[in-house]
Amino acid sequence: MTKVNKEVSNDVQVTLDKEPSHLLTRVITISFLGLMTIWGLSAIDMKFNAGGFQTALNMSRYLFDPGEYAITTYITHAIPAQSVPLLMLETLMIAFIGTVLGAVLSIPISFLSSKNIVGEGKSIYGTTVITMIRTFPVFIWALIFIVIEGGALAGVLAIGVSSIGMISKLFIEAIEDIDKGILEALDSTGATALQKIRFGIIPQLTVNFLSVTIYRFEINVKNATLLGVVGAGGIGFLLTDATLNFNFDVVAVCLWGLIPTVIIIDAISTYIRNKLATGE
Amino acid sequence: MTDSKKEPNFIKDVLWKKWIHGSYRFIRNILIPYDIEIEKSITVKTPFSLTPYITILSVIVLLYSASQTHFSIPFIFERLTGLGNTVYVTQPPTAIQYFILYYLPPDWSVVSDIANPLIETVQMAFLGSLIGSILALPAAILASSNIVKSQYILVPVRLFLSFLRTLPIIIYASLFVLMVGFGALPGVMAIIVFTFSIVAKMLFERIETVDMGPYEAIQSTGATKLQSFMAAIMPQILPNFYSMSLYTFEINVRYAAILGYVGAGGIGEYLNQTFEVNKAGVLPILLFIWIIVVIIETTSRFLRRRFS
Repeated sequence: MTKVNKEVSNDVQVTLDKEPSHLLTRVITISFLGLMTIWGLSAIDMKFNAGGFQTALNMSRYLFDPGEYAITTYITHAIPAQSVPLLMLETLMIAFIGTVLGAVLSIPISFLSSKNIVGEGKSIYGTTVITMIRTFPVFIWALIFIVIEGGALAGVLAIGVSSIGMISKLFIEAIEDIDKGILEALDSTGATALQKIRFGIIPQLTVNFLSVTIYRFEINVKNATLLGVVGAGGIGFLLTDATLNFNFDVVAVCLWGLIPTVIIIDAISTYIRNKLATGE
Repeated sequence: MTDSKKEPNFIKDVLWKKWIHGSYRFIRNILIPYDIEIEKSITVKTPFSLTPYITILSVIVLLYSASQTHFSIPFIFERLTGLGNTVYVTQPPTAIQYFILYYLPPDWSVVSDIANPLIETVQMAFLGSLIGSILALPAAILASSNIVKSQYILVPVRLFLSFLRTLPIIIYASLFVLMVGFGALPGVMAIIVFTFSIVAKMLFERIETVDMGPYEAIQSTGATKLQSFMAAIMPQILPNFYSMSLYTFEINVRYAAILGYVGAGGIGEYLNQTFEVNKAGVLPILLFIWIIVVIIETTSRFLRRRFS
């Protein structure tokens, strides 16, 4: 009995010894990360503001009770440029129309860069353009489009163009998954090219396209709150401006508008996408 | 008998029956579909569909949004080229003229000034991603329903995570600026919170799809929960964890570039100043931000391919 056990444990030991040693990789990785951390910490000026904690407490107090003044000036009797509900609406509209713009622009781009439509060689041109668009952050687009017109329009264009990257990438995946058998079946019934597109291609793509677009809308709502900072419309400007001027009551009122909206949009988007995925 | 084949009355037959009534039936059929008659006395009820209503509603919302945000293609065309119907007292410069006037030629002298803020941006993104990802690991374990069985822990942790995800990073940055003052520190803190919320969510979704067999096997040998987690589940999720952290790092570099607008360090502050004072310097800065983003994305994508 003991002999067998010993053999088994020997086998385990041998197998364990055969395991390649990751020690070197680990040492290199950890020391690399450690060096990077030290290098990163050098950028930070470690001076703790003693009043920081107090400020946080103040802020959370205002969050629950912004006070009469903030509510009247920014919600009930606000001028349009300062009204939180209107600015939230503008943010949503920028995100909505920007997403639609991005989706519409993505359709031709993604068809032109799908391997099964234009072929392996030519699809590279399209995918290169998409990768280029993807790497520009939203606010860079916003800063470029501000030349055309400041405010909401620049935001719409920025959101639209920056959405192309992700939307096309996912559209291409959907297009490359098309079942060609259906098209051949339609061919055998004598369908015309238009009928083939209508009954063979569109039904296969709609669900995926819608799901991608709704998902991107969810992301764009968050991006649109960011655009106000560079002057491209939405609630971002009021919010950051108020924060930097220590107007906690205004910040609180803005957050009242922002947090529920984002939560609701997230919930609706997840609900619709689940329904689309399970086939309604 | 020739009467039955009389000429169709234009007003009664063509205009009314065919065009007006026909288009009414066409639209009505889309909104409230008619029953389909296959044979005499056999009719099939068409299923009611919400799709046309949703489509119409979306188009209305779209048109309203377009009018509110001044989004119209003729208007954009007019702003670009100056060709349009709007009457001005003095013709303003078109977008292209404005662009050439203020943004061109690019002022490359800013390049010497942006090296430090750019490096700071990358440092902030790196530090924030590293700390945020490490913090996300325990949070993700607490939020995954196959490891933690208690609803009293699961629900609050998940609610907290989804609450953190609602606020955009720039808001965190401005709030932290108020707490700890200007500089890179609030930026790093904002990136930590952002990374934490995203990585924790992606990671707990991954943990929930993990193969539980080894975990239970190791527990049956008498190992504690923590030991069996480290031995059985960690090896399964670590590659995903690395690739998620790298992915978040990619995103964070882009965000870190804008945090300076609220005084949270990085290139954003310098970009804002340049935009106000010397527009010719904007394009070179954007170019360099782009180059950094591309470099980091390429490296990160290479590493992520190794992990998967």
